[in-house]
Amino acid sequence: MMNDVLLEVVDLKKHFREKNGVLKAVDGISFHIKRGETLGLVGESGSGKTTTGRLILRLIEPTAGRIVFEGQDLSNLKKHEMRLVRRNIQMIFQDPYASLNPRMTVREIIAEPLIIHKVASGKELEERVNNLLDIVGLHKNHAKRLPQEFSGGQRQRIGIARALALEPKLIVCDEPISALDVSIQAQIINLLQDLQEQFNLTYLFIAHDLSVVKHIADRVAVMYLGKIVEMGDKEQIFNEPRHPYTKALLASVPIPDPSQKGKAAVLKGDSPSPINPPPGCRFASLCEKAKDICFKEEPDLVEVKSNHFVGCHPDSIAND
Amino acid sequence: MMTSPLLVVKNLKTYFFTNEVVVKAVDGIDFELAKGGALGIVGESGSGKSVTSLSIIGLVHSPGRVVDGKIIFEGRNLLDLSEAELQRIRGKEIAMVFQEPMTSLNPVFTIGNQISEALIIHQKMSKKEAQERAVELLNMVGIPDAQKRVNDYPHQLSGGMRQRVMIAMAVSCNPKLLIADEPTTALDVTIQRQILDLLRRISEEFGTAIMLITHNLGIIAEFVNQVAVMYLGKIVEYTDTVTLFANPSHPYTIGLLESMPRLDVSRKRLKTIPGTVPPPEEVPSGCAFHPRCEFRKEVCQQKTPSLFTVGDGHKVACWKVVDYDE
Ligand SMILES: Nc1ncnc2c1ncn2[C@@H]1O[C@H](COP(=O)(O)OP(=O)(O)O)[C@@H](O)[C@H]1O
Ligand SMILES: Nc1ncnc2c1ncn2[C@@H]1O[C@H](COP(=O)(O)OP(=O)(O)O)[C@@H](O)[C@H]1O
Ligand code: SF4
Ligand SMILES: [Mg+2]
Ligand SMILES: [Mg+2]
Repeated sequence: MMNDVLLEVVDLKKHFREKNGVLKAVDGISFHIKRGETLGLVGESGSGKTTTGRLILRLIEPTAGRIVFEGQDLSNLKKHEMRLVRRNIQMIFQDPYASLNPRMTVREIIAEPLIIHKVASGKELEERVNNLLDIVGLHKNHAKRLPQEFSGGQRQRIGIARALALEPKLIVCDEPISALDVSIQAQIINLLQDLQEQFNLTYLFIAHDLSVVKHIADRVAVMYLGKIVEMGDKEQIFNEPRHPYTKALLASVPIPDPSQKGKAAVLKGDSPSPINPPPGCRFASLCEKAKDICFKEEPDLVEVKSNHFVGCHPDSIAND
Repeated sequence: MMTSPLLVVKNLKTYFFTNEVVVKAVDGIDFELAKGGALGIVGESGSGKSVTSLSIIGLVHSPGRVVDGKIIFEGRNLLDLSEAELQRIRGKEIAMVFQEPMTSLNPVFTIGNQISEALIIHQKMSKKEAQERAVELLNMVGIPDAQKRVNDYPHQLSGGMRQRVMIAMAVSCNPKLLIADEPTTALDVTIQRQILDLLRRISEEFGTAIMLITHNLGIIAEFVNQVAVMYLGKIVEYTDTVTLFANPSHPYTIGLLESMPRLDVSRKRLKTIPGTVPPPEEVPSGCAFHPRCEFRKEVCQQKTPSLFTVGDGHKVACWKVVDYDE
């Protein structure tokens, strides 16, 4: 049922030209997200997660590839058609300090998208804003204040209210809790889950904290240096990881249980530079399982089980 | 025979005297660290972790000041020492690693020069000896190609490599105490584990005591054996690591542990601690956690609970553990 798929990304690339070569921030990734689903996107910093989100929002132009939203290829859309689509895709940012205009009141921040898209005005606008404040757990008395008068968690609520204003279908959540205090993170996670249920939202949830992704996502894609190296249902990724990088990531997370003390580091060095990445598998230089072929040919993402994709030579050989 | 601890902090109070208010950043804390031991300090931002460590190495700057207490290091109260005496201890006996190595490294000097500097000052090495030792240290902390990298400038290194350089500098004079203030917070999880492994190796090999500051309870569980949980300038729970996780007793500790998503446990919906950490100038009366606490009673609002002993070496600052009986 094609209709089930809200977003499809096909062979998407974003290359940046640098002094000393081409930086392949996103280098041919494909995935889809179904309506009402949460796809978690994990990977180390610099692996291309934010760039992927920005491409989907069309904040930047792709070097190649397609983004298909509700069956429409976004690269073919005219300007006014794109405006309509844009309402349906919103973003929540990592840094609730930097992403809100410090000179605007909370009311102005939340009302702005409604005004730009001419959705509401006057009394109706006022009511919409109050309603949005209520939905994210803020009080309407907060509307007159400036963002810096709020704590980090409350600012993230303001950002969420703004993202919800146009009743979007897809929200790209880019590390929405990483900057928040530990005791506030759970509040925001619960809010995002409640909103998803209430408004049938679809999330692309970007995070480097694997525990959070395990909690919130239905499916997970693991990125490494611009590539998706493994993708599958949450249970597949967390219970039966196959790619050596996914395994290394999972083994690195400190577990809050003293009886599990004393695991040793799995990766022995730094990742290679994303500028002019080495040929073959980008993970090869750090990989314990690497064979000759890994340094020469880039592995394809192979479906090793229903919906479980792995891009690793030894894995696919073992699977043949 | 009981050996005396390396570090004893007694009733430490460090306040900031800003124009309008007095910020009680650290407000009467007590803890000990054994020789070669590993103590974790865990708490949210603003709880006073960094000010605690700056107080120990004597780097609290105006408008801040240690207003009370004792910091006894190897039997001497550091607060009684002159600045010159302190400088001899700082770097040599007590060293510190910060969260953001880029701000503590000097961008215009090679990493080799920066490591050598401390060796020349504290160990009276010649320039050549110091450079050779710098290469050894870089090797020891796992910098590949150290002979060449010693001539690199900080910006030529990745975040993980810079933190290794900071650790090399910190351990260059073989300190007895290494304070690591969120040393891995800015790093990826795979690099984080490498750095924590390195710290553990150093502690084991050289008998260096480690005070590890973090907001990550996973790191606490895996890397230290004694923990202080801080909230708004006070220690609210103090115990060994196994007890903290097996029998957390302060409502704040319990709340933190229950609200965390975990890899090893599946949770349907996360429990939450209501409200937020109040700003430092609005520390609530009585138990500072009371506005967020589901167990609070009348007394919690009125009187500050002291650290009550609830078990062997297990202390909890909460009225509930003494049945709200003043
Ligand atoms: N506007 C840009 N110009 C040049 N390089 C960029 C730009 N945006 C991102 N990059 C680079 O692309 C890579 C991926 O970055 P990003 O998508 O932010 O990663 P992540 O969000 O996974 O940390 C990084 O190497 C980053 O430096
Ligand atoms: N230079 C300063 N002036 C005023 N207040 C300060 C200063 N440095 C720290 N504080 C305050 O002291 C408290 C504790 O800060 P800190 O020790 O940095 O917390 P943590 O390291 O646990 O995040 C905070 O409320 C902070 O605002
Ligand atoms: S003293 Fe009272 S308010 Fe404070 S943590 Fe204990 S029960 Fe809660
Ligand atoms: Mg990012
Ligand atoms: Mg700090």
